[in-house]
Amino acid sequence: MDQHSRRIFLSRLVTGAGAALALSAFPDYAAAHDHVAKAKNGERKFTSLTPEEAKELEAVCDRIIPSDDEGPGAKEAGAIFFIDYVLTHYEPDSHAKIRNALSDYAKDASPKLFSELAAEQQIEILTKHEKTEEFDLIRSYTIFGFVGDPSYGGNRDDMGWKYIGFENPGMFFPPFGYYDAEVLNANKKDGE
Amino acid sequence: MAGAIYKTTDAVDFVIVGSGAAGGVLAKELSTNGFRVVVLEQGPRMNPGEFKHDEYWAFQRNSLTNNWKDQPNTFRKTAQDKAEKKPAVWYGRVVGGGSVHFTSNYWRFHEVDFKEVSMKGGVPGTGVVDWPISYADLEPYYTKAEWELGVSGLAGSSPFDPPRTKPYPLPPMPLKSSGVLMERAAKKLGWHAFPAPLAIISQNYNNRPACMHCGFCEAFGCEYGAKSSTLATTIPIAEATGRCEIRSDSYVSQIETNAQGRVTGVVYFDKNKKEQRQKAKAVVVCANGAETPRLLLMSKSQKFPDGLANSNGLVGKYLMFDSGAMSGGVFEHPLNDFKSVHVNRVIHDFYEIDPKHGVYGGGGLDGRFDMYPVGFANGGFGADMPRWGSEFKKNLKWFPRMMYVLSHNTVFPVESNTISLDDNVKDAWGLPVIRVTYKNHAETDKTIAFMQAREMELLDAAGALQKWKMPSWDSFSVHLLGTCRMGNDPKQSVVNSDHRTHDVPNLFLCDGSSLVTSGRNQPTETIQALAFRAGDRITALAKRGEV
Repeated sequence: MDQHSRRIFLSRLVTGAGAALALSAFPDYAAAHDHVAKAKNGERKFTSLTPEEAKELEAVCDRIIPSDDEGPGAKEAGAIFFIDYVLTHYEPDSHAKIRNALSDYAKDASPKLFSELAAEQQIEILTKHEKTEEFDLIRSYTIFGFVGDPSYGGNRDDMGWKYIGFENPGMFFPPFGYYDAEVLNANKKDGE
Repeated sequence: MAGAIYKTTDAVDFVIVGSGAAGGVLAKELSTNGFRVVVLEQGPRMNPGEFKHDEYWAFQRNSLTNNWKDQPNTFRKTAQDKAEKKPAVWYGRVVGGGSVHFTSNYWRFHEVDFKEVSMKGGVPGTGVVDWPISYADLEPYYTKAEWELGVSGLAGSSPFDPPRTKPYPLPPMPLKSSGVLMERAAKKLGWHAFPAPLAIISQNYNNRPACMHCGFCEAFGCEYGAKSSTLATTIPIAEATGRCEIRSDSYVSQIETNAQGRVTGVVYFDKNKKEQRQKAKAVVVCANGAETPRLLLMSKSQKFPDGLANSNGLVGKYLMFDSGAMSGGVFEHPLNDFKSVHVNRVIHDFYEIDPKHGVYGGGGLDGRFDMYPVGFANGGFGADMPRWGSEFKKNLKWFPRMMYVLSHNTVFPVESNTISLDDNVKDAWGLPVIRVTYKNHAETDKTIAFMQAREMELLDAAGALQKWKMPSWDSFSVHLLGTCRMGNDPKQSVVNSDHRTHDVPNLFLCDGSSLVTSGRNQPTETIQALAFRAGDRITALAKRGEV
C-alpha cells in the first residue's frame, strides 16, 4: 500500500474503538502488500521450461493475448515467466500437457517452427486446437500471466492491470465510478 | 488468540465439527453458556494478515478452500450414470470456514420459504415440504445474527421484506455505480431496487474497523476483519471464555458410538495425518451440506450399518445446489465496480413469481461485479464471444465498464439428488470421497430461465451497450443444502427442530444440511440464525440433563 493510503487508513482507525486491535493486525497487512512490489523485480531465468519450449510457448501466448495497437500483450507482461514459475512451484504435472500441445502445433507448423510462422498461420493452427484441454490450460495460464497477481513473475509492472483498467491498492474511497459520482455531484448541487 | 486446551481423553461437553458459518456461532453460544467445547476444523488457522489479493492463491492453490487434488469429488447426473472424478463442491476449509470467503450477501428467508407447501401447494415430483419451524420462530435469531455479527443494510427499503423486530445495526454500504444503474433500471421497469444487506461493516463496530472497499470479498478473506466472518466475530469471543479450544488442521473421519447407541467422541487426523480420538459427551456436526452427510455415512458401525442417524436412509438426500442464471452487460462509462463490496443493490420483485407465468418458485436479482481480472478474462463472456486473439484482448478493456446481474432462486429438493460415498476413490487420507449425484428438477430450470429473462430486461433498461447470457450451471456448487433435512417426522427427516438427530440423542447437526428448502438460495443468514437458535435449544436440553 502506498504512503498516502497508509496515512488515510491509520487516520481512520484512530477515530475508531477498534484501533488497537486493527493496528495489531496492520503490519501483516502491509507485509502482504509489500511482497508484491518486491517480487516484480529480480532476474528472469527459466527453471522448468527449456529455452526452446519457452520460445514456442511464448509465441502461442502472443496469439492468445497479442501485442498490438490496443496495448501490450502477454509477451510484454512476461506471461511466460508466470507459466515457468507455476510449473516449477505448483503444477509440475502441467508441463507434460504443455509439451504435448506444443508438439501438436509443431507438427502442423512443420517444416517451420510454430514461432517462425506468420500470425495468420499461427491463428489457423490454434483455431484447429482451440477446443482441447491443453489449449484451455495454456489460455488460462496466459491470462494469469497477463492480469494475475504480479508476484508470480507475470503481469510485469502491473502492465495487464493497467491495460484493462484495474488497480489493487488495498483500499478505495467513494465515488468509485462515473455513475455514482454523477449522483453524488447532483446531490451536492442540490445541497448548495 | 488463546483459547482453552483440552486433552483428547478429556470428555468435553461438546465437540463441534467445523468452524464455519454455523460451527463458529455454536462455539460461541455453547462456550459462553458455560460448556466445555472443542471445535475441530479441517483447515488451517490463518491470520487475516495472511489473506492475499491473488487469484492464483485463492482459485488455483485453494488456499481458503478444499482442493481437489487431496480431496477429489466424483460427479454424476443420475444414479444410472458412472461417476467421474470432477470438482463438484467447493467449501471454506480454514478456521471460519465459508464465512471467511463468502460474498457476504445476507438475506433473511421469507415466510413462504418455510411454508412452501401450505402457502403455495408444492410441486409434484419434488421433495418440497414445509419446515417444522416458521419465519416467526426464526425472526429473533435473524435479528440476533445481524446484531452480534454486524450487518449493513436499510430496513424497510424493500417492500417485499418480511417483518423484522429491529433495523440493521449498520447503515448500508456507500452507493456504487452498479447501484445507480440498478436503481435507474428498476424505476423504468416498475421494480424496486434496495441496498444490499451485507455481512460487512460499513462503520467501525464491536472493535472492528469499517470496510476499506479493497474489492476482494468473494472467494477472499478480509484482511481488515470488516467482513463479519465467524473468524472475525464469534470465534474470538468463544476463545476468550477460556472454555473453547479451536483445533485446526483436524480432519474428522468418524463419529464413535457405544453399545447404547450414544456418541462417545470422534476420530480425526491431526496435522501430521496421525489418527487421534477426542472424547465428548455430545457432538454437533457443522461441516457443511456435503461433509456433514459424508461424515455420517463414514461413521458406520454394527449398530448403525448404513451410517449414523441414517435408519431411514435419508442422510445425503435432497441435496440442493446454487443453480441460477447470470447475464453480463457493458456500459458507456466506467463503473469501476471492482472497487468495494461486490453487490450494491438487490431486487426482490420476483421473490414470488406470479403463477400466471407458469413458473412456480421465485428469486432475487442482484447487480454485481464479482469477477477479478483473471476471472473476468477467463469466464466473463458469453459462449459465442471470442475467447482469445485480438478481439478478445480488445474486450478485456471492458473490465471497468461491466456489470453482471445474478439471480438467486428457488432450487427444488429432489430425493435422487444426493451426497454419497464413492468407495472407488480415496482422498489423501485414505477416506472415501464425496460422490455428488445431481440434476436440476425441470421446474428449477424453468425458474432459472424466467429469472434470466428478467436479467436481460434489467441490463437493457440500465442502458447496456451490449449484453449477453452466461451459461447456467448444475454440476458445481458452493451452496450445499438440504442433505440432513429438519422435520418432525423421524421417517421423513434426519434432525428434529432442535437439530438433534432422530436416531442418536447426543448427536446434533446444524449447517446447510438442515435446510428443508433452498429459500431463494442466499442461505448464509438462515444457516447462522439456525445456529444461534440451535445454541439456545441445545443449551436448554443440556441444562435439563436431556442430552
